[in-house]
Amino acid sequence: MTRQDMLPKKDNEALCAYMDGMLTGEKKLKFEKRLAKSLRLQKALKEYTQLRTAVRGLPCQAAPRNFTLTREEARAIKRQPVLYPAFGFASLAALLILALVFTSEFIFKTYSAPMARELPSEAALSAAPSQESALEAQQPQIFTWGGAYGMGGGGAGGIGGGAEGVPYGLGGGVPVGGTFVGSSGAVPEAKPGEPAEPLSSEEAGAQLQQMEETPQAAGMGASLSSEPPEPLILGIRESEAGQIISSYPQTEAKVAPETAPDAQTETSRALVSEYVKIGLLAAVLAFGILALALYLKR
Amino acid sequence: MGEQDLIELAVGGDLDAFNRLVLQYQDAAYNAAFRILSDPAAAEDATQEAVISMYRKLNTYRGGSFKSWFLRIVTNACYDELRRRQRRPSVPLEPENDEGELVDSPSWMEDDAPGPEEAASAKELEDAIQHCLADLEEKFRVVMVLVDIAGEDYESVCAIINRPMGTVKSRLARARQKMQDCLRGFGELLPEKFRLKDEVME
Repeated sequence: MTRQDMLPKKDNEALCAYMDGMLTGEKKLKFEKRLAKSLRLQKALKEYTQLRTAVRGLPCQAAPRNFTLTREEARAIKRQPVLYPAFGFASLAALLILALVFTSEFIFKTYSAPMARELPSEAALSAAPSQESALEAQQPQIFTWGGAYGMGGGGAGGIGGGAEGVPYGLGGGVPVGGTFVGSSGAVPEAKPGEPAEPLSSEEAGAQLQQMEETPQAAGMGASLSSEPPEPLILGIRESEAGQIISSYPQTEAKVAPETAPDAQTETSRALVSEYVKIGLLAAVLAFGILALALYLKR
Repeated sequence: MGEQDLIELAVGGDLDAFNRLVLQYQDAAYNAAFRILSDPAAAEDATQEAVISMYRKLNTYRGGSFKSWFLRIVTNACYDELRRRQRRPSVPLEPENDEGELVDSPSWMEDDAPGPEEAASAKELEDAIQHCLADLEEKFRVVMVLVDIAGEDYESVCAIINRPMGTVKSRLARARQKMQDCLRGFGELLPEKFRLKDEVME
């Protein structure tokens, strides 16, 4: 039999349906008209009828034994734990919780993100000083002792951080190795125009610690002590001369401890959330597979 | 006592009523399983599994033909058995030739293939039909067994295999066509009514 001899799929289906009495009404009449005209269909009908007769004539294979259940078997079947519904419900519950988590996250991101964009976020505010400090860090640090025209406590630096070309700073701070040393001009060793010996980081750190331990050494801020105010020389008390009143990378020292925990908190929050999601997803899959296995086994 | 009464008693927990239903339909169930699986032992196992499953699911029976419902469970048990067998590949009815093209005609069975010769040597129509039936793809075989052997109507087969009417019609037509092609391959070995000439009628 070649492909040309094979009936088209529609004719084949219609022929089988007609043979089994599944064609009714107009469809049946229409097919009978076609059948009367087509010898090919008639031959196929004859063949299919023979085939169906032969298949239906196959002897019925009697059951080799009775498949009835004894009372013990029936009790054993009933006793078997039906874990399938339990696992199914557990999987469904985990799936619902997971969907709830994702939905709440979606809603939160959808409705809170525009508001967050309108107002500068805390993270953005805390990041700003860091950016400034980064810019400052890129600028070359110039170590001068008293500035180009160091007259007493002036010198480059001061408020602005000691830029070269600003001979008369206001703060009285001289940048020395990344720290400002309040001098008020009491640096007799300094010669105008000579570069100062930069302090090592250990020395600067020790001086900074000393400043923090001494409330009076609070930089340029006004003293709140009840003692009569000392005369200020270029905004610095005489007793504070030679002490570190501020370290250069102020922002780094302050910002880093504040932002680092925030970042850690955000990270830890995200991690917890991810762990929860992964756990829920694992529960969905595990319970679902167990339920499916039990269902198929039943 | 009628079938409906037996069903109600069985659903209520009456084991005797359940067993009477089993005895009533176990031959049909085993026969269908045997034709689908072509293996007496596997058919026996599938039938036993179906009876156990039916006992568990009695409370889910929602009326209709009890025989069709039972056959549905038997068919599912056979599907489980066939899935377990999938590790052992069988020779398809339509193999590919050397060029990788699909061979439509089952004339390859007339060559030196051992299957047809063995079946033909038995000189029994039943063996030939069972051989061709076993070579059908499982989806075609199940429909053909349910319609032509178990005597189920199309609607019942739709419910049993959980497929729409169009699928059942299509599968049955394809199954009969394949069976016809397969039986042609036996040629003179079959009774004369199955010796179909390869002549074009139109």
